[in-house]
Amino acid sequence: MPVPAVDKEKAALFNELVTLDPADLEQAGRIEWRLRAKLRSQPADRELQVCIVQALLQQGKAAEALVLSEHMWASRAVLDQSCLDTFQLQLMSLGLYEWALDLMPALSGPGLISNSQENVRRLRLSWLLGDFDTFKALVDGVPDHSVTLLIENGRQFCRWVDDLGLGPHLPEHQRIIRSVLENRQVQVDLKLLREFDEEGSQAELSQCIYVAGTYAERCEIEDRLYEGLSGLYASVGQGDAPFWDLMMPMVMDVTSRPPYALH
Amino acid sequence: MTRAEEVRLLRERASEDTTYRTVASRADYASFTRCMLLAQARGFVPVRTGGDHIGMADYLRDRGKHAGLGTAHLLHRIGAQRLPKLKRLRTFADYDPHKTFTSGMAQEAVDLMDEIEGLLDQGEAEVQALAG
Repeated sequence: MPVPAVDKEKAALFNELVTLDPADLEQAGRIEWRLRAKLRSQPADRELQVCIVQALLQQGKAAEALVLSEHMWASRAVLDQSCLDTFQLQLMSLGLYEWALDLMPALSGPGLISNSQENVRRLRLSWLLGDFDTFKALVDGVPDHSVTLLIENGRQFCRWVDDLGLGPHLPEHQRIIRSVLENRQVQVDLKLLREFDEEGSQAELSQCIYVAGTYAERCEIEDRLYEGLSGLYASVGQGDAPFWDLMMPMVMDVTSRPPYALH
Repeated sequence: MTRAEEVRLLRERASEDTTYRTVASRADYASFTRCMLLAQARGFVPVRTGGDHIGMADYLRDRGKHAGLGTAHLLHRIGAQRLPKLKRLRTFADYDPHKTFTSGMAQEAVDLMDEIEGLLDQGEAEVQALAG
């Protein structure tokens, strides 16, 4: 996550925020209020607004972060590159994937995000939008000499999805997830891992969605996801397909998220 | 001390990435072994490979699939959702060394194990009768 080039106090608060222990919600709250105090004297400061969205996300305050992000969307043209970069990641965290994708051209190009960062973001967004053709094309498009374990896992995963005929249902799959998580999601993380045993290996994609909620509340959300997705696959004659094992949505508490990777 | 009790003790003492991973791994093992006893009591025959993990969860899921409330419903919830999620956390712990495994992830694994224990306890009488 890039640190916006802002005034020293803003930068210090943002840097402290994104390097906090994910479980330290109290300090994130204190930083939010300091940022809000600054915003009162500089209400048009977009960089401060980006910082406040970040503080809200880290506390699991999805609804407030959505309101502010929607307000900022209208003035996205005046955000500088580093803020836009962070703002795009925030939109992704909130599940506003179409908007995040819309910002991609403004972030691509010399001196902006690297090609590999762009590809990773496009890969994530294509999956999260249920655009399996683009997801597969990005995974298959990696030159052989650059294939990493992640891409190998991605290719094996795509073969499974193809073999099971699940690709056409992924837009609806993702729509169900987004509708259940609406106003709750504050981060999303994709993991493509392969587990090995005596019988070979299978690549699995985990869609970890972070919310603020107790274990019981999160189980209730997962039960609704399971019910919705089971209904989808049963309705298209795929009731026995191992969709849950293959591409499991996992609803996790915001305090259990991994720390941000800074660059 | 049961395996679940050992896991809770490990969790209390865990304070960094490696020990958090151990907690998740042992929580999965504790739930797997307890569920395996139940599945075997209901007719599941393990083949003693890594595939038993999925096979056993599928077995529990399918046994509970068409049931309404009661033990069969609990079996479905365990086999379809809770055990697979716990196993996935174990996969993160074992196969994703480049990403931090947080205290919250370890706690999630313990919470899942505890819920599975609780669900199994609810059906204990029936399980014992079947095993007995």
